[in-house]
Amino acid sequence: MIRKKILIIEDDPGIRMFLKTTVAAEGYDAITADSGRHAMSIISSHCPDCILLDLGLPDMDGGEIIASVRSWTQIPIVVISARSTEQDKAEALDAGADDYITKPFGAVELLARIRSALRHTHTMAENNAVARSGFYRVGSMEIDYRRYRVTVDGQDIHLTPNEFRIVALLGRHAGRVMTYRAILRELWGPAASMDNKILRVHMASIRRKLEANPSDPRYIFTEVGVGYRMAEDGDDREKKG
Amino acid sequence: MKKRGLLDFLLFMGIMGSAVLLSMLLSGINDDNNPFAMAVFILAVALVARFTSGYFWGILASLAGTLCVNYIFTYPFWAFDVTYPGYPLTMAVMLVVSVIISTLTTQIKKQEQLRFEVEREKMHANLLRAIAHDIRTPLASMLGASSALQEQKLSPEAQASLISGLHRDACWLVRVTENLLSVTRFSAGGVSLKKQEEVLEEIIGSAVAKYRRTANNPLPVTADTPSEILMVPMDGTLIEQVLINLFDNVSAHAQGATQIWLHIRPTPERVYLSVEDDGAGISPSQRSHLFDGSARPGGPRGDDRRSMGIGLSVCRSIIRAHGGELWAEDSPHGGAALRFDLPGGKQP
Repeated sequence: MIRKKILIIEDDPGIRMFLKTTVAAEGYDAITADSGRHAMSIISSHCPDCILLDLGLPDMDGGEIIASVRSWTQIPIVVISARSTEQDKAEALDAGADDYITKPFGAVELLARIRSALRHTHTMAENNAVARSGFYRVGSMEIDYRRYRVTVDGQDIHLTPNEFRIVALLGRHAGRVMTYRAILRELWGPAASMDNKILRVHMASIRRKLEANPSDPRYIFTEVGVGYRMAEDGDDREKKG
Repeated sequence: MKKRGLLDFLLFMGIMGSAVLLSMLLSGINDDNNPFAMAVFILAVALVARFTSGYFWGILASLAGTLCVNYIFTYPFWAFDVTYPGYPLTMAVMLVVSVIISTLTTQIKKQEQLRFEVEREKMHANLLRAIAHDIRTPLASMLGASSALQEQKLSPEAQASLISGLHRDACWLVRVTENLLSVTRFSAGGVSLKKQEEVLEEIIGSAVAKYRRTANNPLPVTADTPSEILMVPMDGTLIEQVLINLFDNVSAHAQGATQIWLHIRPTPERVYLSVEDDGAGISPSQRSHLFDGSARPGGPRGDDRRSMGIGLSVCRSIIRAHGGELWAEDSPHGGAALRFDLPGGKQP
């Protein structure tokens, strides 16, 4: 098997060292860049399989890098950011990043994100798989895309049409954080109001029908201030890291 | 300062203008020398002196008041008459009123300022002491562990235990800094909170998941699910932090606790939340120091355990910034109950 190449873009030498060691120990090829400009040249010459991008680079805005990478390739990008910057995370995801990880984090969490990002390299293919089979299953929940039905333990969950569309969308992008903005745009079109209150009321109602305990969800997780994420099989994010 | 000056000027103009208008209205009743004008203007001068800062506007008001009374409201109307017998008296009365009230106002303001500063100094000192204490203990153990690891004469088991100790201490330090950052998010220069309507159960769900993932020995959390959907205006990440701190606090300090309950009680104006456990509880003597960062868990081995730290004082600051309050009580489950309330919480 070919070793996957991971590009690490991080300006702090300590964290860069930690990332490089962790990634290399897991059997990936680690390439590092300490500035945005350097990173851009490496991305085009080395074609990495996954990019770890620190949002606080001195020379270039993180969003700029994401946008310019996204203009020509779907390489998965995992954004590394500090806490208390939910706005930045949402913006990075909307710009095309695949996932984010919040500093400080441990090796287990980091590797889980990289694995998940590599799995999602072909989001389109995955969407196709869901489209081909017409089902998305996780735990004891099943979304039936042909009959517009959701079941838990074989029991039909009666969702309204809007509620089903939200669940269906999250199911198609399972494992990935969907920002409020992305969900609103997808379901209500680009002219949708950016007030996410209605979405959250829908979500609260969905949880009451879907989850045994809405305050301790198993299927749809809240990323406070950013958006929602549907669980997927082999979800290691909720485990202790 | 400029803003303050403008505000004072507007106050001055507003009050004096109202006085002139009021006196004019009253002069319609009595065409003779206006008996009300004097009283009205003394009141106006008193008001200006009370609500503006310093002496300047008060004295100006007394001068302007005297001139107005003389010029507009005493015979001969619309003309100055310095021979009017009451003139020096009017002038003196207004001047004295303005100076007395300005002096009092300035004194009160100075005292308030002083008390506020003393209070703030005390809070800062307490917080700094708590932070230093919270940081020093894990740093000492990290320093010890890392220097022991460099010796390289240790058995693999000893190494592993030192490394896991290092990890635990680093996690502790992370939590301390997270808490400090939370506070600077809203207390820096009095910047107000970024409040947004959040669905309460989402915040609770996320806090419980994070606690379960990061705590050293997480206890099972049983959270109520309110029958109706509660939208509460808050800074979601800060309230999440409060809940995680309260859960962590049970894990770290409630001796004998086996479970955590999170009870929710909505009322029309506020939502009450309560984090409860079945541990040893908090004694009344600890309760008084619970939130100033100086509390030590009691009991025979009190000293070797870490302080309750700044976690709880951060929680209180966050809740207060939201317009609520955080306090400790006894829980019906047998241990402690840390309760707080948040304004708002209506059905969408």
